[in-house]
Formats: sequence, C-alpha cells, structure tokens
Amino acid sequence: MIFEKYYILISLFLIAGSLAIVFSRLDKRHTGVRRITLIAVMTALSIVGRFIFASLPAFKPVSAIIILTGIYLGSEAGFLCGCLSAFLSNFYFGQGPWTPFQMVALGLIGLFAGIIFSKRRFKRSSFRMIVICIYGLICGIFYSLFLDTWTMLWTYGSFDLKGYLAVISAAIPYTVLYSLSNVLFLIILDIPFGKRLGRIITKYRI
Amino acid sequence: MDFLKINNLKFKYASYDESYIPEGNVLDDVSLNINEGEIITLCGPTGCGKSTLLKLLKKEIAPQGMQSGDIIFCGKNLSELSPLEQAKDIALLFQNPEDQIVTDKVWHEIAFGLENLGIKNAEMENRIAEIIAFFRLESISKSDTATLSGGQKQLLVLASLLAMSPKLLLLDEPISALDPENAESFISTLKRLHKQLGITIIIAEHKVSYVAPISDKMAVMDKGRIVCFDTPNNAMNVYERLLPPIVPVESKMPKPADSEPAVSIKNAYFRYSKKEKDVLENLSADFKKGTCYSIFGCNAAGKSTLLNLISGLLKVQEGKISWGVKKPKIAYIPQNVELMFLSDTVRGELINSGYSKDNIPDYTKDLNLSSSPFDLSGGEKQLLALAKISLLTPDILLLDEPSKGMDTNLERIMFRELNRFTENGTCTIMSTHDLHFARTVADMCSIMSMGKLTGFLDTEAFFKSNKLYSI
Amino acid sequence: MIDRLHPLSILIYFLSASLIPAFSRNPVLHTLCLITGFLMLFTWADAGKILKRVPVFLLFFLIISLFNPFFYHNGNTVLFYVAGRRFSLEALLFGADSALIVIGVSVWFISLSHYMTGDKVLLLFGVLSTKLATIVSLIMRIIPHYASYINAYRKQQKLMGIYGEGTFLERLRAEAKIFAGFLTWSLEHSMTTADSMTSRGYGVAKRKSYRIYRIRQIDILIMITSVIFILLLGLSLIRGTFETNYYPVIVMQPQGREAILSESVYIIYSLFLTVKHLIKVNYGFFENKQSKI
Repeated sequence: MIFEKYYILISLFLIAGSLAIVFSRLDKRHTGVRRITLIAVMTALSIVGRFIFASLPAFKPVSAIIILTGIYLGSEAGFLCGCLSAFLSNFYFGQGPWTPFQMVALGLIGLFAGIIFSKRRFKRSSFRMIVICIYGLICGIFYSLFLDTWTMLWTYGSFDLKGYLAVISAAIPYTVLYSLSNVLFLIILDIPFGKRLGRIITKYRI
Repeated sequence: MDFLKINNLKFKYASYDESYIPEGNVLDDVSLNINEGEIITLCGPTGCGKSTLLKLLKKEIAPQGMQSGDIIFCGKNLSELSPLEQAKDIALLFQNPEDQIVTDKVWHEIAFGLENLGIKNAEMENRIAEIIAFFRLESISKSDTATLSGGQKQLLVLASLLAMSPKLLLLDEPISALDPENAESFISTLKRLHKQLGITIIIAEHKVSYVAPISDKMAVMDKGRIVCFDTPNNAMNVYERLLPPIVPVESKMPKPADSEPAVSIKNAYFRYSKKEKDVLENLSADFKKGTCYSIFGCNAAGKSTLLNLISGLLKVQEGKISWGVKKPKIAYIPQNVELMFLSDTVRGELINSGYSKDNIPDYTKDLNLSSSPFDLSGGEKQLLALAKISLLTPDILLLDEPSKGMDTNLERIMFRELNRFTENGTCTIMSTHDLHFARTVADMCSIMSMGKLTGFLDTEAFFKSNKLYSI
Repeated sequence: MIDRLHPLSILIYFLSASLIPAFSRNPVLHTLCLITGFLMLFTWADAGKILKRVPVFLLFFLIISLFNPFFYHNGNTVLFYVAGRRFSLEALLFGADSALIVIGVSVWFISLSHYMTGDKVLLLFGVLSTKLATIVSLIMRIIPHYASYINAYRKQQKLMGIYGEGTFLERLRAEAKIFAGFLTWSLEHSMTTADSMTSRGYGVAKRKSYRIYRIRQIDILIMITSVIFILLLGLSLIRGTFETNYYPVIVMQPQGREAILSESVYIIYSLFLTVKHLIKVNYGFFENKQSKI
C-alpha cells in the first residue's frame, strides 16, 4: 500500500485553503471592468461548451478554451477561467470533494498557458501552433492522470501499483480521446479566437 | 442657473482601425440648455449623432475621439465631476436590456449599483425595498433575471438605475427594441416616475410618436447639428420635413388570382411541451406565390411559432404543412437578426453570402463595411440580413418584425426590396406590429389569435373592415 | 428549514457531516453517513425522483465493491477462485465499505449543491474577493442566456445552409465556424455589459456586497456543534479508534470511550438536523392545510 486516505484529507484542506488564500488576494490587483467581463464570457463559453458536448464522452472544448483564455487574456484570466469553469459546471455535472482538485488543475492549466505563451515570447507562427498543440496534449494527459489517481485514492483510500495500472490502462482510450480532442479544439479555435479577441482588445483598449 | 448646459460641443471619433477613418464631425456646434425636471426628446435620422451626444454626457463610457466645447452640469464642468458623482448623478440606459443585466437575480440587479457605491447594508435594504415597491417588482424580486420577458428586463434595468437616485436620466433608444404593448407600459412608467421624482430625462428615440406626448421639449438633430429645439408640436413639423417625402410605392402589380400555392397548412396543431397549451390550434391557410402576406396579433399569439413551422425549424404535431415545390428554398429573417451573422465584419458577412467585393447591393454601400455587424443600428442590421438572403432568390421569405428599429429612410429601402422579391415570384410572409409598414408592403392581411388565423383579406379591405386594426 | 440558514453554516454542516466519516475506516459510520444522506435528500426532493436515482447508486455500489476483490487477494476467507486467484470475503467487504462511503458522500453533495443556491455561493465568494463575486455573478447571469442563444443560432445557421453534410472534419469545421460566430456575438455584447457596469459606478468606491442572509442564533449553534463534532471525530481519527483492519481477517479497533462518545454525538447531531427537520416540515404542511379549511 502506497498511500493512506489521510493524505487526501490533508491535501483537500491544503488545496481548499490555498485556493481561498489566492482568491482573497485577487482584489489586491486591479483588473479593468472590460477584462472582468471578458473573463466571465470565456468561462461561460467553456461551461456552455461542456453542455453542448455533454453527450460525447471525453470530447470537450473546456480545456482548449481555458488555454486560449490564458494565452490571449493573460495568466490571471486563465487561472480564474479554469477554476470557475470547474466549480460552476459541477453544479450541473455533480459537486463533490473532487471539485477543489479540478479547480486547481484546470486553473493551473490556464495559468501556465498565460505564462508560457505571453505575447512577448511568442509571435504567431507555425512553431507557436505546434507548441500550443503539445501543451494541449500534455495538459490533457496530466489532467486525466491526475483525476484517475485521485478517484482511486478517494474510492479505496490506498492502492497498490497493480490495481492502479489496471485502472489507468482501462482509462487509456478516454485519456487519448480527451488529449486529442484538446489538440483538435486548439487547432480549430486558435485562429478565430485570436482574431476576434485581438480585435476586441484593440478596439476597446483592454 | 441651468441644470445642464452644452456649449458649442464638437466631436469626432478616433479610429481604432486603420482601414476606416471616420470623416467629418459626428457632432458639430451642439448647444443646448436644459432645465431641471424637464423631459427632452432627441430625434433625427439614423446616424445624426443623437446616441453620441448622450454618451458624451456620461464621462466614463464616452467614446474616444476629439472633443471641444463645454458640458456644464449643475454649474460644474462635466470633466471636473468626480467618478463617484458621475456614477451617482447621471444614469444612462442603453438600447438593449439584455446586455445591461449584470447579475442573475432581480434583487441583486437592483442592488448592484448601490454595492458599487459602498453604501451601508441597512440603507441598501431601504432603497431596494423602495424601488421594488415603486416599480411593482415584488412578485419577481427573487426570480432569475433570465426568466423575465423583454419588457420586464427593460423595466428592471430602469429600476436598477433609479436605485442610485440619479439627477439626470439618459435613455438611448429605450423603446425601439420593444413591441407596442411593452413600449406603452414603459412610457407610462416613465411618466409616473417623472411625476413623483421630478427627475430630468433626456430620451434619444426615433419612435417619436411614443415619446413626444410626454416631452416638454424636443431637439431635432440632423448631420451632427441641432436644427430645432422647441415644443414637441413645433419640432415635430421640422422633423417630418427632414424625412424624405412619402412617395407612394409604385402601385402594386395586380396579382393573378389563381397563382400556385407556395405553402399550404391544413388543420395544424402545435404545442411546445405536453403540459403547455396549444399554440396552433386547427390552423389552416394557403399562401400563394408572388404575394406578400402580413400577420398581426399580440405578443405570444404564436406568430413566430407559425413562421418557425413554415420554415421547417419546428414540425407540426397534427395536421400537415405542404410546400408547393419539393425542396423549397426558404429564407427566414428571425426577430433577432443577429442570429444570421457569422462573420466579424459587415464586409465578411456580404462576401460569405455570395457577393463579390465590388458587387454589393447598393443599399449596403453606406454601411461601414469594416465595422462589426453588431455595431450597426437595429434598422441597418435588418438591411444587412436582407442583403444576406437576397442572392438566394428564395421561394418563401419569412420575416419576423422586419421594420424593427428602422427609421423612415431605411423602411423605404425595405419596401423596395420586398417588392422586388414579390415580383420575382417569392411568397413573402411576415409577422409585424407595424401597421403602416404592413399597409404599404403587404397584399393580404390576417390576424392570429387563439391559435388560428382569420381569413386573409386584401390589405385595403382588411384595413377598411377592421376597427381596431386601422390607421 | 435548511434553506433559511446562512450559507456559511450550511457549508460547515454539510462538510462536517459528510467528509469526516469519509476519512475514517468504519462501516458503522459509513452506513450512518449514507442513511442520513438519504434522509437529507428527502428534505427537499420528491420520493419519486430519489427512487429514480437508486438504480444508479446500486450500480456504482456493485462496480466499486467487485473491483476490489479482483485485484486484492489477501484475505483469509476465500469464497472462490477466479482464474486461479483468490476472491476473498474480506476484500469484497472492503470494497463494499468503500462503496458505501463514496455513495454516501455523493448523496450528501447532491443536497449540498441544492441548498447552496447561486446567491449563497456569491455571498461566500464575496467574503473572499469582490472581484471574484462579480465575475461569478456575471457568469451565472450569462449562462442561461448563452445556452438559449446558441440553440437558436445553430438552428438558424442550419436553415441558412451552413452545415455542409460532409466528412466528420467538415462538419467539425462548420461547428467551429458557428462557435466563432457565437464568440463574436458574445464578445461584442459583453462590451455593452461592461459599459453598463461602469456607468453604474463599478470601481468608483470600495464595493460592498449586499447581504440578504444574516447569521442567526441557530447558525451559531450549528457552526459550534459542527466544529465540536469535527474536533471530536478528528481526534478519534488521529488516534485510530475508528480504524478497521480488513486483512487478513476483519478486526474492528476496540472502540474507546471517546469513539463511542463522538459517534453518538454524530448520530444525535445528524438526526437532529435531518429527522427533526422532516417532522417540522410535515407539521407545517398539516398546519397549512388546516388553515386553508
């Protein structure tokens, strides 16, 4: 047995606590009204996207939209979009002790997207597209692995490698589909999102 | 001392987009003196600058551009007002109520402005209670804003502005998106409000007939200038002279009585869900080619549902709809024309629907092609929607409130284009509240009520025989 | 009535009642958690709707219980052999125990998300950050609006022939085009929303959330008992009095005085808020009927 259930309890409190600390520090930084509404719009889009594709397992634009939010609106926006997408969509898809973990995982995906693809570092090019796709793929794998591990720990409290590998390999098709759908959505949505968000950002001086 | 004084105001938009550089001043030497407690109407054709003028009175959201001249509000230059004073004293209502609602609950929407001002909880409670009582929102105070009707939303937005107890209320085309029923109730609320609070109100609106009766004065604008500022009666005369003269549209072609049917509906029934009432109840009608039909009726009479059924978006549950040709080309311009837009520029929209760059319809030439289709005025959006389906030469053309947001100029273009369609054999069916518009363009008219259509009558005969539906 | 409580006490009560037993390994506590969870469902949902969910829960129960013995073979009581491997009673019971609590917590969380309505969530977020609360309230307002718009939008675009019948990729491309069109619409309109917020003074002063929920005596009572309960159970958790060993044979820890104490506190406490609540609602129901007559 590798893990004990107490670790989850402790990590749950740690995660919820650190989320609360991060949230309570948000007001320290000024964010313009227009940026705030854009964050809300992008989060709503990702949640509505989860609805639209609710019937297809694993095929969701959620992470792609969160990554694009991070890229075009910055890491704070990406983080909030990720956290709130997870939290609010779970009101329809089921809340549970997993919610804080999902919030942090998706939030970090958005946060790092914002840090890695900041405008200064990356000009629009095919190289950038490839890096974005790789990032999407890694995020997909990371997110599904993370949640699978968490589910195992949550259900049985402890596990050995054999059972874990069995679950992971059973979930491989799902993970692959999820990661590929991330990449697919990023390829399809990057150009229109970039164009339209860019237009709004220059037009309204955000 | 004047309450609001505008001296020689000039304004020119800055361009955010290199491909389009606005020419000329949007506002040119505008001067106005407004006393406390007056209701002022601003009117003028689309693009005369009335909306810009209103927005310049609200510093935080004033458009970017070159501005000269003074605006003096309560003895202070507008630019000297603190942000807090600006927010508290001047309230602005935009055209579309849907976009202005920020929260998901009615009570919270009313509280939103007060929360921003950082008022104490007990005082907020008091103000919210007052506003809910005044606007009679008690029954919906805990509802989700998403469940309200269009008219209720507009009222809620007004209520939440008034919660902040402003001294000056600016309304930017508050009723042009509303149907006659809601427009009337909105106006009567305004009247009551003015009577009780004595608040100063400036309304920019082209549906002048609604607002003129409650105004003290009317300012008529044309090409960025104020051409008349007088009592409503006098100003109306000036305004009407400004509009292009009403030329009777070329006499309608006599329709061959036995042209082929484009759509026929037999004993159709439809309801949205098991528990609801029938929207269509044993409805039968024939629609012929090359004829323009107009359907009247109050809100929720089922007009839009009928159009949806004819378009094939919905299916009848009993009875039958048959189309004259096997696979008819159906064009449908819904009440919310924005549903038709797909591109982020007007030019993109036109090219998407099959036009080449130099061959766009003449009536779209005046539009700013590189702007977003969503930046157009309500009437201009209708024209763009019409342009999008023009190349299709549809067999059946369905229109839901086609004259919405249109001023007389744009209406005229709409008449012309619709006539062209009808002459080419299109069967046009529209649902409208606008009797003037219908009388000019429709060949046959009917009223929808209790799930049925009254028998179609020739337009002239219809207006002669109906006492209430008459002009 | 639970929906009249302050959001903070609802949150603390629900979390204490569901999460603490979840981290013990004690079938008695787990069963209690599941039973009280179901009782809690009855405080707001129709019996019919709850019964509809039961098959799903049973299925989950079976999957989770049976998964374990297929991968864990260390238990002394062998029921039978699967492909040469032991299928032990202990492993099966371990799985069943895990399933009990996973379902128990899920049931509790269903009620939690029912009672944590939008305005209650907003109040909790508002305590942390007004910016966050504003964003959340915007999102909650936008979602139903977007959901109905995108439905109408897809239908209209379909009517205008945007959906080419074609390969999967072509259809996906059409979907993306529609999504981009929808994005343009939502972005443009959101700028008016931003203007409406600015013109109503967003950002001119320190924003203060309007509170419609006040902390009452009952809220304080609930929070205090919850905290005591968390401390008591937490202490037992750390000292291991709730532990059960499944392998190789099932051995429950000899339960000390404190364990029994905290367990009974838990039972009394949960019943206090669920069963008593149920009776109260029924009383109210009868009273209303009488007054109508």
